[in-house]
Amino acid sequence: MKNKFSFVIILWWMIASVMAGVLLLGFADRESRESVLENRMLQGFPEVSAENIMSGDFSQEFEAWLSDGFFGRDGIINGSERIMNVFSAQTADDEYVLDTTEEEVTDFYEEDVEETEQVSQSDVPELPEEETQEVDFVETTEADKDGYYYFWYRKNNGKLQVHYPVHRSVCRSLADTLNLYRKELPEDGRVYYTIAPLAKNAWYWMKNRDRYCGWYTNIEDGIQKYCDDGVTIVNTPEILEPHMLEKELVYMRTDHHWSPLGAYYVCSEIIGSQGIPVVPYDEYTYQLNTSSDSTPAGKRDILNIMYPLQKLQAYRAYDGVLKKVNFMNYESKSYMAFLEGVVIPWKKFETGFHTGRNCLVIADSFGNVFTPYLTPYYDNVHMCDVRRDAYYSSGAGGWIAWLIDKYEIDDIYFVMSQANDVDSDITCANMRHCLYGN
Amino acid sequence: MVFSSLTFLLLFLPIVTGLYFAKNNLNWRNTVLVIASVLFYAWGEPVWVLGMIVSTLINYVCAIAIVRSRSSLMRKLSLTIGIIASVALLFYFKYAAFLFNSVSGLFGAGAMLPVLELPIGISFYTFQILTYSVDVYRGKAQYQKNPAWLLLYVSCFPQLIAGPIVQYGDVAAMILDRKSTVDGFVSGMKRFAFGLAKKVILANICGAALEQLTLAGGGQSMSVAGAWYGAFMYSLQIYFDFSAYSDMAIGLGRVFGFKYKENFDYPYISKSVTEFWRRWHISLGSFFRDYIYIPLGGNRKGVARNIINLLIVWALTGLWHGASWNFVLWGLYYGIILIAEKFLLKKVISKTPAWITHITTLLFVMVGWILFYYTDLSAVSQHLLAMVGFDSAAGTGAVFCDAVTLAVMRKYTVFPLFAALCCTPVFKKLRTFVLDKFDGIGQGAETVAATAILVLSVMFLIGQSYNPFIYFRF
Repeated sequence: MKNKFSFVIILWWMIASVMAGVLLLGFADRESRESVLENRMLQGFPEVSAENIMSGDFSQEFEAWLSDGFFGRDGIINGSERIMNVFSAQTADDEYVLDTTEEEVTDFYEEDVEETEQVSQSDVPELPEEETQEVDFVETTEADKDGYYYFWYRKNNGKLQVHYPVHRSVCRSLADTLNLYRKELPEDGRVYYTIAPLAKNAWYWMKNRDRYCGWYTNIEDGIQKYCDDGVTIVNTPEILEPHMLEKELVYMRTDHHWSPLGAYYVCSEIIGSQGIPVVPYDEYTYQLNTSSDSTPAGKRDILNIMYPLQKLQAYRAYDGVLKKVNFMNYESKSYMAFLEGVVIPWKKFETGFHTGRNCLVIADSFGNVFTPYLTPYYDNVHMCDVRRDAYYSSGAGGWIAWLIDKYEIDDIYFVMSQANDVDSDITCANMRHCLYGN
Repeated sequence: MVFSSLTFLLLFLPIVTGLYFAKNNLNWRNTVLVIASVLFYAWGEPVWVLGMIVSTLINYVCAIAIVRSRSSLMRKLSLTIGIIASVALLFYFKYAAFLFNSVSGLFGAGAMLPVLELPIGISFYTFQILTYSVDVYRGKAQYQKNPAWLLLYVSCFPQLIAGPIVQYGDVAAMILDRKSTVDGFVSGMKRFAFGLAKKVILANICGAALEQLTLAGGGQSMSVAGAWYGAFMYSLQIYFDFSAYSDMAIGLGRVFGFKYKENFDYPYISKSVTEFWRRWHISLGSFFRDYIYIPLGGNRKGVARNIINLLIVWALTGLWHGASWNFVLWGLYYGIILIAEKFLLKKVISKTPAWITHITTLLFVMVGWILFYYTDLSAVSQHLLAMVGFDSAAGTGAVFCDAVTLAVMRKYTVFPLFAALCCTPVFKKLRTFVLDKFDGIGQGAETVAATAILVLSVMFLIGQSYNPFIYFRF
């Protein structure tokens, strides 16, 4: 027979095919399960019902089940991708350009605004006719005789002008909450808590340097007193003040947030306190974008949209499943993963670094520009928001204690602003609720 | 079910092939094939498989009536009933909403009918049933006494979903008498394997590139390079997609002893649009020639009538491809070019250097594919204008190349060139050369290559979520 060799080979095609088919039918996993490689749920064996068959869904799901359950699927996918990449000259930027997502993206300028008003220059509070609630400037970490800690403005005449007080009981309550979070972490885990002033409070004294020379607070000291080891309350005003005195733009002029530079200073201070070498600000690559709002004088803020140092992959938790999302909109030069308001339970960023540590950022919108600066120091950075109904266990997969355990979180960063800080009952109650769900 | 699926490759094909060859008896083999074909169709269309069966049975009865009728009127009536029965289902699914909505729009009425999803392969098997009734009426073929064998002809799974359109007269004898040989089995399976690779690797990668170009572009204005690259990749995708399916159909046909005619003959090497349509979807062209153009009078009733007949045929050709005005325009576009080539440009073409006519033919074909691709005519004009450097959305000149197009080009680098090479007979000639020089070893080497390509195809199939047949829903 002329084609005997070919005939035998092709006969073996048939035999191998049917053997593979029968083995798949017999032994492929029939349950739906998550694929770590593909970041999706794999198809389980379809429901055998008249309705499913007549609608045509059975045949589609059966095919998907065969494909998803094929032996060595992950290796096959990796192999086929490697073959595809043999002739590829794709750059890292190209991957961002081509990485499409099905998720709707919230434009940075349409994000959900917090309960405090969006600030423009005209919203900077008027100076009071009579200066009230002034005390002599004495550096103190202690509460006053009534048990209050304060946030003050420092005046050029040596006095302190009270901005707002916080009672020690409130500080205690917050500290207890933070201690609960600390207990969920491993032994070397750390909790950091920052209370960032709003832009209007910064501009209040920066615009009136003839009267003011800074700000001062001992609220952080009041909270720190009640915190366990491993919980650090970060004094953000103290970190930012010298930079503000140098007229560095650490706050936005067109809304209530700090700028990337301001967030960088605070983040770097925290990282530096851990004894870790800090990546200089200029070592990052930035894309410049401008704010859509402008000051009454017509000036816009320049936004430094930072490119992480390594290729970063972002995910969103959605109905208990992680879905890949774009980290960045390359064309509009805006973040798509960090800056998305309060619309989903949590996000995860695989940073591309290998430090052996993971962290969780629990933040309001001030966390959005802070979090990118954590990426060089952690393998994975998770991010969530505990205000209102932002964190819900059904969408998240579990409460925060579950998240900490499942994703091996080492450190937690609370990045809150004065709009949602220590004296906000909502925030503290939400923090406790979202930890365990009770 | 489609050929490029694990269900087909791992279960359906080996089992059916095994059962087919279990007995050396034609009745047994035909029975296996017809049951398998009905199951093949029912797998994807569990409800509308009945439509195909009923349509076949009606034509079966009509053919008997045609043969046994004594009066010409009864024969014509039987044929008419058979044609109406065949076309009714196609019309209902494909054209009813289109016509209603077009008329409604023309008169400014707001009423709209929803567009229905087409049963798989309805355009193909409808034409096949038509050829049966007409061939019997014309005396070109004997009527089929066994309804199951008629159903076999209509539903034979190798060519059911996406052709080639097999005229009854061409296979009538094979249904009742055919032989499966080892050579046929081997060559058929090899052809199937190469066709599968054409689809899963070449067509799907071209499609993925095109999808990335359009999705990542996000509706932004097209650059010049993007417009050309997109048109080029779509031209490749549609060719590989469709010709791959024909290859697989012809290959499987050979396995089971059917010798189907070729459906594609390297259309992109054509030097005129006329030649292109002699090489592209040959079976469709044959159908329209034999069953529409010639009955209308063809070229036998004067130039004016010839032109009208051509325009009718090409409008119907466009309409067959889809119920949308862009398809009609696409058909008429080719109709006009063919008329021009036939009546005005014949001498010009014969005197022009081949490389020039080749390039101009490719340009005409690419423009035709743009018309074919977009159902929205404004998108067609936007794309065509971008190709010549004009951004119609912005009203300014188009940028030469945008970031997305560059990124796609970098991702796929030389692949489009390799794919373009595969559109030429280079590999066929290489094969012929090797087999002539090293016959026995050459055959074996070809089988080893086919095996490697089959394994690669299955790998890509498992890894790909992108696996549509463009012609699947025709």
